[in-house]
This record gives sequence, C-alpha cells and structure tokens, in this order.
Amino acid sequence: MNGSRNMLPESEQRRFDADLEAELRVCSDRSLDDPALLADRLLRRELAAMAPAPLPARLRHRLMRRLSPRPVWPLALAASALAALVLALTLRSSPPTPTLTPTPTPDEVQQLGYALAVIGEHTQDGIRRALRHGENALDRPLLEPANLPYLDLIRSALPGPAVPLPNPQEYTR
Amino acid sequence: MKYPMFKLSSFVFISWLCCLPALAQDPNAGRFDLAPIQTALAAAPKVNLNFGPAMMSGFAETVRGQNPELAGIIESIRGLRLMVFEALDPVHARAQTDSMLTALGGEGWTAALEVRDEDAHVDLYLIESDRFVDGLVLMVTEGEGTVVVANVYGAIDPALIGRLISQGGALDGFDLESLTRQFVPAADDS
Repeated sequence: MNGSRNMLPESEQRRFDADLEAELRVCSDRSLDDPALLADRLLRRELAAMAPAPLPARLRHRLMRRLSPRPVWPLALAASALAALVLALTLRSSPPTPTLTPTPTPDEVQQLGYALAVIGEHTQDGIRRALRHGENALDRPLLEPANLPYLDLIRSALPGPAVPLPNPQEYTR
Repeated sequence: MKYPMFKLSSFVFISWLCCLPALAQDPNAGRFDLAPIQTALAAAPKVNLNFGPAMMSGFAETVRGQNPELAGIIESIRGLRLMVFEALDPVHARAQTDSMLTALGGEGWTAALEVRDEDAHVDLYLIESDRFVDGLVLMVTEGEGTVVVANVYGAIDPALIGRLISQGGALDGFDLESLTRQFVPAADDS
C-alpha cells in the first residue's frame, strides 16, 4: 500500500482517497448525499418489508403441478411405443435371413409349367369369350330399306365399312 | 410439464403415422387362401399345386443364367397356387364359386375379367398397390363340373398383366417346353 501511495503524485492520491471514501459511504448506507439514490434505497427497503401478495389460485395450481415430481408412466409408455416402433422398422428393413434356395427338380419344373399353362390358357379362353360377346354386342342392326326414303344418302353418311346398297328397285319414294 | 409431454406424444404419434405406409406393405397382400374353396366344394382336387417364395426363388435362380428376363418375371411372383376340381355337381360348384367371388369383391379385389357363358364362367380378379399387381385370382367353372382356381401373388409388373389381358400372350415365356429345357440341364448338373 505504501508502495502504491508513494508511486502516485500527491494530488492524485488525494483524489483517489476522496473517491474511495465516497464509494464506501454509498456502500455502507451511511449519510447518502444523492437524494435519488437515497429514495431508491428507501423504496427497496419498504418493498422488502412488505408481505408477498398471494398468487392467483390457477397460477398457483399450475406452478405446483410443474414443480411436483414428474409422473414416470407416460414417459415410459411413450418410450416403449417408440422402442417398439424402432424395433418393428428395424426388423422389417433388415435383410431376410439367408435361406437355402432349393434347386427345383424336373418334376417341379413340369408342375410349374403346367400351372402357368393352365392359368394362361384359361385366361386366354376368357378373353376370347369376352371378345366374342363384345363383337356380338357391336353388330350393327340390319335395316329394312324398303320403306326408308333416301336410304342411299343415309348410308353414305354413316361411319363404318361400306354396306352394299339394296336393289334400287326396292325403293319406294 | 404438460407441454413437453404433449410434444413427446405428438412426436411418437407423428413418427407412427410416418411409418404406417412402411408397415402396411404386406408382401402377402395378394395371397388368397384356396383352402376354403376346397372345403366349400367338399371335394379333393385332381390337381393341387402350391409353390411358395422359396420355390419361386429357386426357379428364378435356375433360369437366371440363360434367361434373365424370365428370371425377373418368375422372381416377381412370390407364390403360386392352383387347384383343379373335376366331376363336381355343376350347380353346387357354381354357387360356391359365386359366393367366393362375392367375398373377393368385398376384400378389395377388382374384377378384371368376368365372362358368363352358358357352358363356362371365367373370372379374373386383381388386387393392386401403387406400383404393382399384388395378386390375381383366376376362377373358372365349366359346365361339366370342372372348377379351376388359381392364385398368383407377389410384386407383379402390371405390364405383364396388361399383356395377359390385352393379348392373352403374356405367358409366352412360361411355355412348358422352353421352361423344361431351361431347368432340366441345371437339374442334371446338380
């Protein structure tokens, strides 16, 4: 201390001592010079002496619930569901257990060929039958031209393959 | 505390929703159990063939060297089942198959082909997912009391089914002789 005191000039040392004394005075709460600081200090003291206002019931209930020990079972339930999900996905995505691929015998080849041939033949038969019904349903109705006027003009306007015209002798106009 | 719990449960729920499509993809979605038909018809099938995933893989692997395209088609078929019944009471057989077809329609299968002739009924039902035909059921009843029921399931290319329906020649690669020629040398080698 003496060393530092000796190192400062006299005027600086006096100013340092004055600042230090003022700071100690503020901290020690004795004879504050600043009225604003004094008022603030008194307000704080008054506020500290007041009893705390009771919390609203809902807020208090909510806070107490948050501060009470956490129930473990919902977390355990969620964790087990998550674990089950991860396990299921892992099992599904994991490559299947390698199995020995059997080598088919000629008899089994014949059987597979027979099965596929039966399926193919019956499917084709069904398609042939369906097409036959479709063709029948699309047959154009036969017109009796005897009593239709201007039949040649009507037929020429109809789409589709040309139909032989009836004998003009049969026309009745 | 309530808010974090809500967030956690929401996270679990959303994760579950996101993963539902993956869980919903059932490789056996197009499988149709033929056993109830046998029970309903009260008869033993003259032909009863049943190839599961392992056998289909075996067929595919055997032909892969000579015909990769055919191997791919066979590989896309996870299982195949065929039953042929003969000498049944035609009226009873038709009633039972019609009942089965009604049930199929209620289970999400779609009729791709329905033919009602006096001497034969032909029905082809499909069930589809977004990209594949998951399965087909062919049911044929013929006048003399013959019933053919087949189910093919897997992840079948819709183009294969399309060719089958439009041209009737989609199964050229499944020709019996060519298949046998392709399989037999491999079987002899082993």
